[in-house]
Amino acid sequence: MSDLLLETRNLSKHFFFRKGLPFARSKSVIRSVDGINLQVRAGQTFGLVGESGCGKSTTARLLLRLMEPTEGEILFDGAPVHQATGPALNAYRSNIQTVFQDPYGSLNPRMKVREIIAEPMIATGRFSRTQIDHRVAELLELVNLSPRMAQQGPHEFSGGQRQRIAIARALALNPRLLILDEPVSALDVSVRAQILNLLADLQDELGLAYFMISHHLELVASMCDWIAVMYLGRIVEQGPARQIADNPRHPYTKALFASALTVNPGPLKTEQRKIEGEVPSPLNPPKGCHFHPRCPLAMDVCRQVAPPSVPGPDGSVATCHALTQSVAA
Amino acid sequence: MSFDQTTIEPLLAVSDLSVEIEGREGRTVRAARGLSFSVGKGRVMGVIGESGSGKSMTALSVMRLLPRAAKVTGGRVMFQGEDLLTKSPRAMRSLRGRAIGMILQDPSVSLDPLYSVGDQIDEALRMHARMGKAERHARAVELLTSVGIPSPEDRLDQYPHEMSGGMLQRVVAAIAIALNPALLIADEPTTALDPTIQVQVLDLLAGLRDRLGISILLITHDFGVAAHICDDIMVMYAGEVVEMGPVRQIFDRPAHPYTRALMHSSGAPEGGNRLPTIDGSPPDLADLPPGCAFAQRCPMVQPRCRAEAPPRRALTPDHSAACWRSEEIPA
Amino acid sequence: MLNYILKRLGLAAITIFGVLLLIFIAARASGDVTLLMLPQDATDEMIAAFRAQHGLDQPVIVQFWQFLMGMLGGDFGTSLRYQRPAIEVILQRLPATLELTLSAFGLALVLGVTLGMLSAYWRGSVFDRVIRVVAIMLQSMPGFWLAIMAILVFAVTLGWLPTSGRNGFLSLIMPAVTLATFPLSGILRMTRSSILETIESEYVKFLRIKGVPESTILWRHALRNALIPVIALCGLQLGNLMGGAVITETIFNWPGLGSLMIESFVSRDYPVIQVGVLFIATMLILLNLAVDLLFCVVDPRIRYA
Repeated sequence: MSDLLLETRNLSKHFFFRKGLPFARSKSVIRSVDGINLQVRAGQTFGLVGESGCGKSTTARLLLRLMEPTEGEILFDGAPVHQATGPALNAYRSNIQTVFQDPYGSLNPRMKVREIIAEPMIATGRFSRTQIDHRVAELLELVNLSPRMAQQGPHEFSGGQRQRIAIARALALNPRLLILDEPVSALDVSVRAQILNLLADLQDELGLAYFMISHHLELVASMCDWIAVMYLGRIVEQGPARQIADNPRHPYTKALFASALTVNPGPLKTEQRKIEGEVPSPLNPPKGCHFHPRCPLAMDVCRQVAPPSVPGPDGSVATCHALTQSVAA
Repeated sequence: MSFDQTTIEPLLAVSDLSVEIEGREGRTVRAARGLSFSVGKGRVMGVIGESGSGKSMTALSVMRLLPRAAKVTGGRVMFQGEDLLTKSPRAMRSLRGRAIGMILQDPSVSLDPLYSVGDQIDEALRMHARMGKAERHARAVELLTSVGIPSPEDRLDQYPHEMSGGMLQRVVAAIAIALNPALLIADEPTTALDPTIQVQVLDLLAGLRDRLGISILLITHDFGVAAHICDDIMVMYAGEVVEMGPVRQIFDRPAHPYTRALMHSSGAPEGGNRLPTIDGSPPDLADLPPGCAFAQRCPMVQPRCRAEAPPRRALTPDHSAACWRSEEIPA
Repeated sequence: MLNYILKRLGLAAITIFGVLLLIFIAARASGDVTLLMLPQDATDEMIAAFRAQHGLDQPVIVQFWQFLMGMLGGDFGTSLRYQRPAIEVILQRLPATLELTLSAFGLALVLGVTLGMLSAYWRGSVFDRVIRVVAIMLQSMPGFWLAIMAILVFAVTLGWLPTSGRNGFLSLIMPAVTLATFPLSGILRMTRSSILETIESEYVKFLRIKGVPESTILWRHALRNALIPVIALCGLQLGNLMGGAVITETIFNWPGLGSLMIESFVSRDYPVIQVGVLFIATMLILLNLAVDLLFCVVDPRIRYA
């Protein structure tokens, strides 16, 4: 097992709302991220999976320090960074960069490719013009684009090429961790494969760690070393990717795998297991286990008490009452 | 379910359809080039392709709702024995929503935010059916029930912003089937939805086919979605149908290199391996090379492919592909 | 909903109090009214008597307190210039101002929305292009200049309309039209772009898919959606209109609140200024509240809590 790079301890982000008249206000709270513990290892890929509204994008924002956590800690290389300011924050931010989902919205259409990629370097003020030009050319080659493209605007590029530019920008300061927020879900199938391969090549070449956010479980299962499944702000199961993919223990993880529409040339999957209902409002989440209204295994205890973390093989953990029952039985 | 679709008169038969889009600087983009396909009664036809392949333009041509800059330059769209392309705008409007329904990609913007869901279902009924108010209300409740919305009476008074994406797509489906159409066109109906909801909506569509015998033209970029509910699929590339046939035959034995490449790059890479990719990018539709449009990206290209466009030819009675080397393609 | 209205009214009371305090102090800081009102050779006794009569010998804060207390008892003070209750002076001028501003606003709204809608519907046509150029021209011309030019052309040269005063419908045309130009072009441009945005939307596409006729789409769906930002703009324009009215009334010698306010400022008629400001502020606040409540009626997504 490689070195621990990034760790969260009991990380939480709560949003508060007030309603009603002055003096008679009631407070309500959305626990967007609710006490999560994650460990990202150097040179490995960590996958965070969940459906919209589960809090995975908020988690990414917390890690990028674009948002202050309500509670909990973020440690990078063993040092706390959740309250870092000034030079310490800048150092952290140059180590952790991000690639967004939409390659059309994430690149400023009024800038040339050179300026887009050079922006993080210019911001530090530590590089000369020639150093920057040299680095931009190097980065473009790294993502399999021609250095001649530096003088063009993003509108001249296809979605796949734009995503390469976004990756080049993220790599400008030699980060050790890239946060990939649905990096291929806006791309066409044939382009998607190109970008996934590029990411895999870059990881081999540069020893990068990835923190990948996606709703596409099958993709995450194959790309990642470790998977965490998130539901309504909590991690319901996490563990080594193979372990989770081959032997999911939490009913929600099972349901997610069942919903994945796989394409295997050859025999077709005809019957899908599916779960009923939808993700409830995070403003008023179900008591006990958040998943119980949709869970085929729900018992009385699930409606009352939040489920315990039950350890499984190879360091995996699932939070489900049904697992303790089967252990007891 | 019989596979013998050729003997029955198809519900929708598109032949030789061409669509051109007037671009800037006199460029003419050929969005569809001599498309031919048919959808049998009660069957689900999947239209698979990447962006720019012409799949949405095809659907909009059938609806006669092409954007201003685009126009049909040739071909026929036979629906229930009549050519839709020669119908008057008025006749076409009465057909839309009544005989042909359609579902769009993003349910969160498909409905007018200012009117209640019930009102928007009612609007479709008012438009096309001679029904009294009470009758329309009963029908709206029945429709919501049939698309699997719990407590439909309460839902009718809700506004679109008060419902989730999955629920909204069910409402959109309810409107689309309100007048028992014979054909339902679904343009990427699950792309904007979460995985668990995606399966629910696809099952709903399959159920509508089974219960009501509606034919469905399902447009998608996702082989997984097509595999889940389609009977037949047609694969589009650069404005043409490159392969068409029953889904099982195409999955087992793809007869066009593009189909095969697309299928293999759709999945997820296996344990540290790289996914097979399709090199290059699609051709410029305003300046197409002679010969096969896929030739410049094709791993099996031969000199003939660059000179002469392959016609689509039948490999089995209902499986056809446009490739000179169909027989040599590995599974 | 009721909570929201009460809350807004509470806030309005605080705002009006602040405005009054400000204007009370500002008016007094601008100079002494006594010397302006009394003859040049007034004796010290006369001055002292005048000041005592109108409470001007007290500290400003005490005067303000007395003014507030008087107001609660229905006494808004006496005009120094007209020697009549200030409220009476104001109410006498109010109808003229309402007539002018309401007709200007009505004109701007009706013409702006109609032309904007047609312009959007026939986008790219000659009509559309002409309308857009004219709208930009009107918006960039200062109101007072436009008013003077209008007087020159229609009253002085052509003699079709009276130059000034308030004397029947003909005399209303020029002030109302010149006052309407600025909000009109804003409303027109907003309506146009807003309608264009709505008719490109997915839900309009879906309405066509449903087989809804174009006219129903335009009137029942596109227009209602497009009017939401227009309503917001109208709320802002009402304030501008009040400001514009002061200038327009002065140029056309229109006997309304605006010209009264200017006269009162010049002659330091504090009580009239105070009551006038109170009136205008209250009206604007209530109109803005009405606009916000109108949002609620039009847009179900907006619910005030």
